[in-house]
Amino acid sequence: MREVAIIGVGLHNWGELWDDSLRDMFVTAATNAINDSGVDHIDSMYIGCMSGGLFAAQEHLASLCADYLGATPIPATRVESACASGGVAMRMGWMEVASGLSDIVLVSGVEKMTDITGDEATFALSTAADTEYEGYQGVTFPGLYAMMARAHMAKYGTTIEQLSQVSVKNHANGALNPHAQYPFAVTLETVMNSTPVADPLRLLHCSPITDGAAAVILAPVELAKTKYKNHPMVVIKGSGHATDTIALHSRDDFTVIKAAEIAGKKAYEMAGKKPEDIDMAEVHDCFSIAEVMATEALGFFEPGQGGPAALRGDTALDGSMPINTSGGLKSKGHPVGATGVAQVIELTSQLRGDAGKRQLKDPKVGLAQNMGGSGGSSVVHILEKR
Amino acid sequence: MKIRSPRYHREVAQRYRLEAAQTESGKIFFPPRVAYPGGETAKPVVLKDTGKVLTFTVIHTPPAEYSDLSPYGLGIIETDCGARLLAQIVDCDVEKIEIGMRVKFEFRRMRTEGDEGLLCYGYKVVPE
Amino acid sequence: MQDVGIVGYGAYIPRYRIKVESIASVWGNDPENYKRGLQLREKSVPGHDQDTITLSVEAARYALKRAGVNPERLGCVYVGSESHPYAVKPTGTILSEAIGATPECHTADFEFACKAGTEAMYVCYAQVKAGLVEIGLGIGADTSQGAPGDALEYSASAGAAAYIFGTENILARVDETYAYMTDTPDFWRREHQHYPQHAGRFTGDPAYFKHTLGAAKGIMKKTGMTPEDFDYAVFHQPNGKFPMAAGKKLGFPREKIETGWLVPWLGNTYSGASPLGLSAVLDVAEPGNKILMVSFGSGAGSDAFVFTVQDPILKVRDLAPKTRPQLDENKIYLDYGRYAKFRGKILRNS
Repeated sequence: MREVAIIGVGLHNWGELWDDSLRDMFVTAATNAINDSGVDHIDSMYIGCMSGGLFAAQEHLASLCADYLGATPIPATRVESACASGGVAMRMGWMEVASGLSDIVLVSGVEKMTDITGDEATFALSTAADTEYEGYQGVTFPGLYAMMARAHMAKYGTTIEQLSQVSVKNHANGALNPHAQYPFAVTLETVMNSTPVADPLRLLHCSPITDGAAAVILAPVELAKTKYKNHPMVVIKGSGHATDTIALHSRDDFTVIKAAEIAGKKAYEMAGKKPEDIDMAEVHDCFSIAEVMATEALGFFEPGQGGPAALRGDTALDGSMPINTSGGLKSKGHPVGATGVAQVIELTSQLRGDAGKRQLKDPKVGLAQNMGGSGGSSVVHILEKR
Repeated sequence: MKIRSPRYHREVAQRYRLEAAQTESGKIFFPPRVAYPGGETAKPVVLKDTGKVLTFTVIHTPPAEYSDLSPYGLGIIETDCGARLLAQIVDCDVEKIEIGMRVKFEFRRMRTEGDEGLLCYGYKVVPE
Repeated sequence: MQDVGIVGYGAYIPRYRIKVESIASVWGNDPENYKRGLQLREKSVPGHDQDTITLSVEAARYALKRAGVNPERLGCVYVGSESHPYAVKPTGTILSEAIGATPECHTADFEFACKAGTEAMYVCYAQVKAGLVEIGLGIGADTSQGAPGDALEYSASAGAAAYIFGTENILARVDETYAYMTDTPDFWRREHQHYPQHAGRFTGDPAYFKHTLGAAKGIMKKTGMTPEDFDYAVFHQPNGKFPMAAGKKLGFPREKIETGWLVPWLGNTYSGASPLGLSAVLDVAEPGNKILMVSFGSGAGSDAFVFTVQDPILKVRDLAPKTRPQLDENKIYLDYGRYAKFRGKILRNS
């Protein structure tokens, strides 16, 4: 297998974008990534998107995106794994370059979520759960994560204050990110008194509904070394991917995200890294409890210690293990299919030293963890500055 | 998205009668599956209609089809035969739901597909 | 001929209640008028997720527990109600599927105002008596509607009772049946109308009393029995006053009626009313006791039954929840706002 480098990154602004269509957002992000990399062509492309059909009444994104980018007739593939669609698209693109099948591959993620009502968006997102045996019972995604939170609290004594601090920290980071949808700080009190959504989770423990797109350009390290030298080189050192039962209730333990744990182990093994080698991580904080459980699953903290670590400030920008320097899904926004790609962009920006006001001091290794549904799929990538 | 007849009709045995399947090694699958891990075969069983709450939430912002019920309890239930499933916890003060609470299953109307469509039934749990 | 009787019974009453005061305060009425005059204190309200089908299923499951029979043996399933959830599509098919009685089973939905429940029992009994089916299930269930502000709103309530008839392990033998019916326009609901209409005081003497008393007298004449021969009597109970007045006119002392007199705390469960009164009696009656049950349905008519309680009842009555405890315990009181929402009385955007 060939080593793969990230040679270009590009975003379309995130938010409630009434004037921007799915295709336009994709093309903007893709064009930005192409320009950032300096490539003059791409060989193949992947598009991570959870539900173009339900959100924007548009399927067949392979053709649509290749067409509007002006890239036909190259092969294009739309990848779906619910909220992990972007992360899995990353893995597909990485595989294609690593295998030697293509040299220059564009990996993108896009989701257009605000063309429909909130109720319709809630329904579209709910299809990431077991429609017949979870959705039919009236569950929502906040509800599923709330049940994990309740179990975590019962088993480990995790507190609502600890969960709330995750949101406070992510908003503090997002306030420094010009691309964030909600770039403002919030207080612990505001989070804890926000509107109840699914006990014990409140509105400010939940990620928002967002329009957005993200794209990266991948190339083999050997080619990047000689031809694409715009930026310090960032290499994909490890990739791990795992699944779990679609229904939360089918799992033995509701306090562990097993798919994230296994995907993490595989990525660490491939990269030859351990949790203590990681300088920063972008994890899938669709709900604040998810960040706590992800940091435990990935070995940054012992089981049950994710909450106390967040409250102590260990995961803050100046902490020992900075988590979600971008602001995370909570503050940066969560256009579901784009999230996994945007996580990789944040790590790349940090490794390049391009992260502006939220720049960490000389990070070397970063980890991105993206997750689908209630943890039915998860994908982890480890990036290193070369 | 409205539930239409074929999708509804397919799940009736599980939703009305809690029909499940048990593999040779004793694990219960609800709903029954086409294939079982390890190539095991399974025989039909009916879940016990009592159990306890393993974890729960109270939904304050429900999906549109469930908005009239808000706020409602929702929990992962372990039946007394050891199967796990998700069910609404109803006919009780949502403030009083707790982990370990004993519950029994009752037949309820889950949702109605507008003024013209199907009436959809299934199981919920109530305090025992 | 072979004895036929009740071999299993079950009652189901929803947990929600609304007090007469809560309704009266909304409409500016004097609650004492309903409490004293009609002897109504509170009524059951179906949960937002309950209807005649769900109530019937729970009552039927309790009846099956007491009968200890395989539901696949049920040869017929009849449900009487004036609130079948579908206008077209049987309650009986959903019910039969839920209890596991399909597919070799005859089913029908009955409608005869408040008499539909005993009608289902009557036909079910006849099927078994005729030897056409081995065992059968007859249910009376309703989630009745009274128009907001109407006197009916104080009584229209929800509940179900289910009876399995058969020939083995009889809990209460059917000794006699009798039906009494005329065309009497005391109460009706036209197609596509949400709430019923009633003829005020015309619902009394020419309707309820004429038919209830006519059926009671008819079955006593047919059996050669007098009120003294009965240990319990259940009369259809649209309010607290009518069944007591009917009993008095027939010569039944109050204490023979009180056991099955649920209406002050339950309200009028329409098709479920007489069957629930009977289940409350079966919960406590002793072997050898004689029970008279007379239903009434507007339009109008009455079905009458004479039962003799049998020994096996002592072994099975504790196998499922009894009627009175469901009425008296675990109640959840609603204010008028939530009640109106539960009953779909609020005009909304679709």
